Amino acid sequence: MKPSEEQWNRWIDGELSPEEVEALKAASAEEGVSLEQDQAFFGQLSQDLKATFPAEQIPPFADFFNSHIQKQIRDLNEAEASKPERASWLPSWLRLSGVAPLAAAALVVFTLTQIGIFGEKTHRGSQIVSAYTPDESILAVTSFDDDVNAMVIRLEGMERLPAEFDLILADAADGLPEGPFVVEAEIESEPDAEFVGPRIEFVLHQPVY
Amino acid sequence: MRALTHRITFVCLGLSCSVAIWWSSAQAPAAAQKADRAAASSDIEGTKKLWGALVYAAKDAASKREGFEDADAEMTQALQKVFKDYKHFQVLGTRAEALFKTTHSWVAPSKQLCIKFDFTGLTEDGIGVKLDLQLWNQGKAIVKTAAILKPDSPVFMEGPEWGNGRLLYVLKLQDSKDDKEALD
Repeated sequence: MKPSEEQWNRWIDGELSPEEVEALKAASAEEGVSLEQDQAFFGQLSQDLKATFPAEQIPPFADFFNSHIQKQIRDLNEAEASKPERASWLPSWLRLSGVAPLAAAALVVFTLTQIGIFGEKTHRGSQIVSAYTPDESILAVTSFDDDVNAMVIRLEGMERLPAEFDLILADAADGLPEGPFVVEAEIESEPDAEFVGPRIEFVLHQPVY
Repeated sequence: MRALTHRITFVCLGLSCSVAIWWSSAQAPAAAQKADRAAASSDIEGTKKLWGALVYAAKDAASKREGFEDADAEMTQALQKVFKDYKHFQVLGTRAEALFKTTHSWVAPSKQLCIKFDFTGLTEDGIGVKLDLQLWNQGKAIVKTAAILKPDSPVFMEGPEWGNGRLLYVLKLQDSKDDKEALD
């Protein structure tokens, strides 16, 4: 099997274990390649390069490179710092991509609901704000009928009036005072009777100086 | 994607702000007129009336009462929609009483089944009137209500069954100049 480039590089760098070196040599022999020749060639190349170029060299115009690198670092820092400023008008929890439009849409719906454009419709006709039946056996049920724009009060539990019941209908032109005939309460009062009640005594306290 | 969500956010916020500004501007004149209308509640005393009709509802023609006229077509149509069990409606009597805050009044086409009311003032929008409405039957209050009556919006009150039919009250806010006007 032909040795891979990775194995070749590791062998050149001396990173292969003895077993791996033996396997590589066997594979190279099958391909008709001599490892010793390659090793000698690259060894000579390495020595020539080291002899030609110094291991350390002071770069020319060092101040220019330093200033240029410092400028790039400053630019990167400014770019990083400018990102939060663009989104700072939103709370951090709203910066998620999907939350902000949802929150805004919810705000619109809430506003429209509050001013009555959206949501439950309210009628502008007559209303029964409250209803009370003194007789507990009678139940008052109120509702608004949209078709006829009328408020309806239904009374459940009222006793049926017999057919012969006299409604005592009033004539609109008779000039009688309005109101039911039956509203006449009898009040028992005896203005001349002696008042009987708790006796209150007034005591004058003389201040002591 | 981010640009799209930002656009949606801006549009929604802009729409919300616009609606809020429009609504607040629309409410400002109403709030300014609120005090004037409240003060005007005393001015309308006597100029509006509570018109009431005592109506007999029958399921068939055979149950109709003799000697009473049928309700007009408009009232009949409205009552048929609300009280679906009844087909025929006869007006037994009508009365109209002016609204005064100082005293209670009666709408009493019948002395046995009548309406007592107290006028307590105008509504905030100046259109409706606040009333304490009571239905009285044979000298007793059957139901006491706090009601707001608006023009062109009557109150239908279901009374007791009478014979083969049922008694109803139709109440309506009426201007004094419309004394003889029937139910709209």
